[in-house]
Amino acid sequence: MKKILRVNMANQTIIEDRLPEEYLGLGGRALIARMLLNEIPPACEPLGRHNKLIFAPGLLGGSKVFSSGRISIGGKSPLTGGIKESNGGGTVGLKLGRLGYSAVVVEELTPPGKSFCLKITQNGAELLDASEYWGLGVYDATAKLRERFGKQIAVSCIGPAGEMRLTGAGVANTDTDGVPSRYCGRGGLGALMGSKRLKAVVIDDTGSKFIEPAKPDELTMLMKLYSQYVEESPVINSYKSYGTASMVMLNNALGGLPTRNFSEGSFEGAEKISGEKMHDIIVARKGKLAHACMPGCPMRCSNVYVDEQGEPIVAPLEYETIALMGSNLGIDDLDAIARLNYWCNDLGLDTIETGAALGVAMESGWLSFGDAEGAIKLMEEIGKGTIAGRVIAMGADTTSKVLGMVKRPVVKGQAMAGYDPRSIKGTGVTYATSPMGADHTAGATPRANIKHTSPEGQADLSKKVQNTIPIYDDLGLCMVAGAALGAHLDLVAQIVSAQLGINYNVDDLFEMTGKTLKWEVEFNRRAGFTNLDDRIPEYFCEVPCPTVNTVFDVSDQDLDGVHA
Amino acid sequence: MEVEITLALGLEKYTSQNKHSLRLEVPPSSNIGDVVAILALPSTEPWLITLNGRQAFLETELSPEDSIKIFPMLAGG
Repeated sequence: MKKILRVNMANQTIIEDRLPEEYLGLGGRALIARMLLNEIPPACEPLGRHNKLIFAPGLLGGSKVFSSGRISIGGKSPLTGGIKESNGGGTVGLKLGRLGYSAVVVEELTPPGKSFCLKITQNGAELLDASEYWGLGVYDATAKLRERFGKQIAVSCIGPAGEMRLTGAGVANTDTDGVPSRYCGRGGLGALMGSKRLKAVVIDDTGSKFIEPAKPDELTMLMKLYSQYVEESPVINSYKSYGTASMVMLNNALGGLPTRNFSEGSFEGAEKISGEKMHDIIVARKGKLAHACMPGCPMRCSNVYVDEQGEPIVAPLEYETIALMGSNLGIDDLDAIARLNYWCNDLGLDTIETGAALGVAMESGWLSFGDAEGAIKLMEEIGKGTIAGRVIAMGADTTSKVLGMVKRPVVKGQAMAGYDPRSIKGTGVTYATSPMGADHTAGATPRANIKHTSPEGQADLSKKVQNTIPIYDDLGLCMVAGAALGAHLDLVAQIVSAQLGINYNVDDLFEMTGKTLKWEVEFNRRAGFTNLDDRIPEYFCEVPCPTVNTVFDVSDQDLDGVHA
Repeated sequence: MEVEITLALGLEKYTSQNKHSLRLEVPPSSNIGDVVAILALPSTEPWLITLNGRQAFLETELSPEDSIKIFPMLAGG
């Protein structure tokens, strides 16, 4: 039986129920979209009592299907004012799924002066006083929770940035080592969790089992095929050695690597911050490569980046962080980038949003490009809660407005990720038109065999990718698996059929993703968004990226056709 | 004519030569597709290719001393 948990923060009542019929067959991003459209007033204050914070594993959550334990977190975004789903790896989705939950819905606001942790076990859920954890960084808070409740727990947690309701804040999730660095980073969901004064969700699935597949023999056979496709994929092979940081040199070659606040698309220090360099440093210092963030992951794209003494600085170091906190800041030192990443993780901040905000700050002259020490000092300001720190932690849009900067690398208030929209135009279309705001995970296009600097065909490409990605987000599958499964969606449909005991085909997968996007676009429409919000900022349409000598020139008509 | 080839991010193990970087003698007016065929890269997978630092395609024609870099088609980060 699929269950739903409703937690009322105003009176601390918790109700467990069967998943209502209208939500059956939905998981992850799709379930979040449907629930938000049904249950919250689209025009509500994101930090007010009508907004809801939803934790939803995918449809395959809790199963033995490889890398199907992503956790989707959603709500009305305090950053964009639109709908938001952000998903992360680690063990939270798996454990919630094993306990039989399709969704945990956090409603209303906690009375002043109180704060809570939500503990979920096989015997039900309870809210516990969180005053001893409130104010702590993500790493300390998680360590204390693991000390109190045991190392078997999974934790979703916010840091001081979320507690201060700053819109660059995300939600951290623990990985297989209990390290809280798998972020549902985007859209300010940490601020939403902070508005509810919910410091952490603790999940102890002791006594539970994997959700049994309806057709075990068939699923075993399908998993063999899945492994084989992963094993054969040159892309996943590259991720195992170089992590997602593989992208650095590729994107640098395409002229799409954000450099000094998106002023250029290639960085003279790219090799020093490349996946190849990261690989060599981790090997020499005896860190970890091919690390799995979920149990049993066959892709293992993660890593543990260590200092010269072999002590972990941060795990993992990922492409988007390297792009936004490295080249985008003119910083060519992986150790410095890893330290900034650690600071973000501990404060509970999205590295993309924060890197983009720091890029704007550097261009304004507040500090200089390449000034890693200055950037770390600003991170300390965020920790202290000073106004200067809060400006940065609100993200790139607020920072650019406070500093009077016309160049704003944002769409719908959310910072662009590690792809310049002028150089990788399909991803530019995704930034412009995704209901999520500028978000590469909604439809990254570098993989497509297309001339990335040409405006032709980019809207169709982005539309296709935006309609495909929710397959992974709805099922709880990792997007990295897409490199192997993307050409075999029939296998994905067969896996769903074997696990859930329903008759599912590829058309059904796309019917589900079509609904997901339709509900999201409709939520935004009701929240006041129009097609004028589906645009790339003026700067990128008028000033060419010097590396590729072109502006973002996909027509408004093409953009408006994406979700028409 | 000779061209220079780099196989990025571990791609060399999918080629017959198994070398990270190499120089190759090719007939005049060869294109990148000809080079990919000589390297015997599996044709089931799309590759992202740059020529002298700019995106190029299988049908792009080569000149002497061109520098070609071939990447796996990465999905994102």
